[in-house]
Amino acid sequence: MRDGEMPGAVNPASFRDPGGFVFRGGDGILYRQINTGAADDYRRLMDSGLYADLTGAGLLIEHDEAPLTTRRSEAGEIVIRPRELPFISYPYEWSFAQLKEAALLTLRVQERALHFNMCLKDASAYNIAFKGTRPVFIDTLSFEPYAEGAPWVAYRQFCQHFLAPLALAAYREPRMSNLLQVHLDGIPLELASQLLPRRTWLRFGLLMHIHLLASMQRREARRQKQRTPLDTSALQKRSVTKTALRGMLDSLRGTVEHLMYRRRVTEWSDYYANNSYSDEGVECKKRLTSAYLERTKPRVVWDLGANTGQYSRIAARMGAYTVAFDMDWRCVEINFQESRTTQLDNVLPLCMDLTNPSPAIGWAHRERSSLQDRGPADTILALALVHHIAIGNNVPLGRIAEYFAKLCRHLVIEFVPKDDVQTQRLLESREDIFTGYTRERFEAEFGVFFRILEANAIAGSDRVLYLMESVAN
Amino acid sequence: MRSHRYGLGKIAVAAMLSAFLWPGTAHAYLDGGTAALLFQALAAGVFGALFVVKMFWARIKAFFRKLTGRTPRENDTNA
Repeated sequence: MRDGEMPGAVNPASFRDPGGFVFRGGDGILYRQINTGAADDYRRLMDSGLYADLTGAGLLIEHDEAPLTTRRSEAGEIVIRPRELPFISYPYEWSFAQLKEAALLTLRVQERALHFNMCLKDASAYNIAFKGTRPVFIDTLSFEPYAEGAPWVAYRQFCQHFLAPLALAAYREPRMSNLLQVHLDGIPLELASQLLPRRTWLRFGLLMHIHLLASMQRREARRQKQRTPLDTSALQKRSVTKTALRGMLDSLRGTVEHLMYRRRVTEWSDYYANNSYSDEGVECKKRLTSAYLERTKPRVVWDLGANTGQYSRIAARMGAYTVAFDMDWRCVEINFQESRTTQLDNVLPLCMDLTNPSPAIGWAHRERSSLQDRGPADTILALALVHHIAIGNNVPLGRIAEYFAKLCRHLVIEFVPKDDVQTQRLLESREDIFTGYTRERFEAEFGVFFRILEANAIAGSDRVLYLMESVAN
Repeated sequence: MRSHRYGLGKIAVAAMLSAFLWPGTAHAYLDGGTAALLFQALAAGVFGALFVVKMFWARIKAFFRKLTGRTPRENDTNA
């Protein structure tokens, strides 16, 4: 748990909008304070029927109003208690389909808001959270009255946060949405325009919302550099009518909807069709995983190295909110689609490279939390993973145990011995320097941080599935 | 002297863009970006016209569907 989550603390990411902020009350409950300047906008959201419309459609996070005595500072006029989500994920951890869903949700919210003569004052991807496979808008303070004729102030932000990474993922490479981790306010449009292939100039939406807008930004930057006054004479005659604004939103929606990522097989996406398990082994591993989870009864499970989520869905079916991490974007994409198809709404698939997990970033390293700060999970599943970290990435077993102990209370972990065909594959092109990679050493190293509760062989293999409990628990 | 002129120019631009032209954006905490705001004003006609044509076309299609008794597709209601 990070310091911003301690009782009484203001959420360190909640400072840009002077209209209010999110804080953790002394009672451990998450609150949002609404300051005097934003109270009228909030009342309008509630009284206009927009809140009921959006929450009724599952687009906006629900909240209750809390007594004013819970406010964090004198500036507060209203305090609300939003429904809290079990895990907050970030856009740079989403797959293509998740980012696309989040973009479409933002546009739907803005279109609905316009019907009620309100408007989104920002369009940050961080306003969206995933509740399992369903995106939901979480910033109740993002609404302001719509002023007839005004352009959409959040238009550039929408293009930077959503359209640019989606276009780059679709036309260049899905991993390019990783740029969102470097550019916290979205990918600069000049950069996106440079990186996109020339043929995207022929796509009307991308031409307008990325290339021409980027050109205009370049021109504007030149003008400011040359200190030439802005010519506003032509603009005084023009305004962005509501029809034009709806047209622009419709164009953005069409552009986003038409963006598709290129389907192809990656190193891991056909893993289950191409691994060393027998059917008997798979069944045994599933049975053991279920039995271990039954014993620990977790509320939140993190499945590390989840692949396409076969085992995540076991945890989810048992009622645990399951966050399924994998470093392979295609696996995360498949997991997301599969979980959607099977209507499991408590699985959240995310892209994460465990050898380089999401760090704490943003202002003072406190705006976006590291993976560890978002834990600990009740139970971690680390199936067919340890050999990749220990041998594939040279991490000593003791360090793996130490890190996992910071992430969870219970650990379901599979030990894959050195003579296993998958481990041998990792050693194919390198010298075997891993003399300490043995079952005995594994148990000794993990024994420092965990109590071993169960150890059972997986049928048809030399692999062993352990259930452990953190000694700090 | 130049920086003074520039300062006044900047204030004038901000006032024109946020308060005079579009009163609703005067208190927005987000910087919409001068270029993005201007771009919308310039492209408004294009987006507006395309949208009107799209809606008009959807109505024509809906009319003929009604005549032939076919039910409209979900997408057409968005147009």
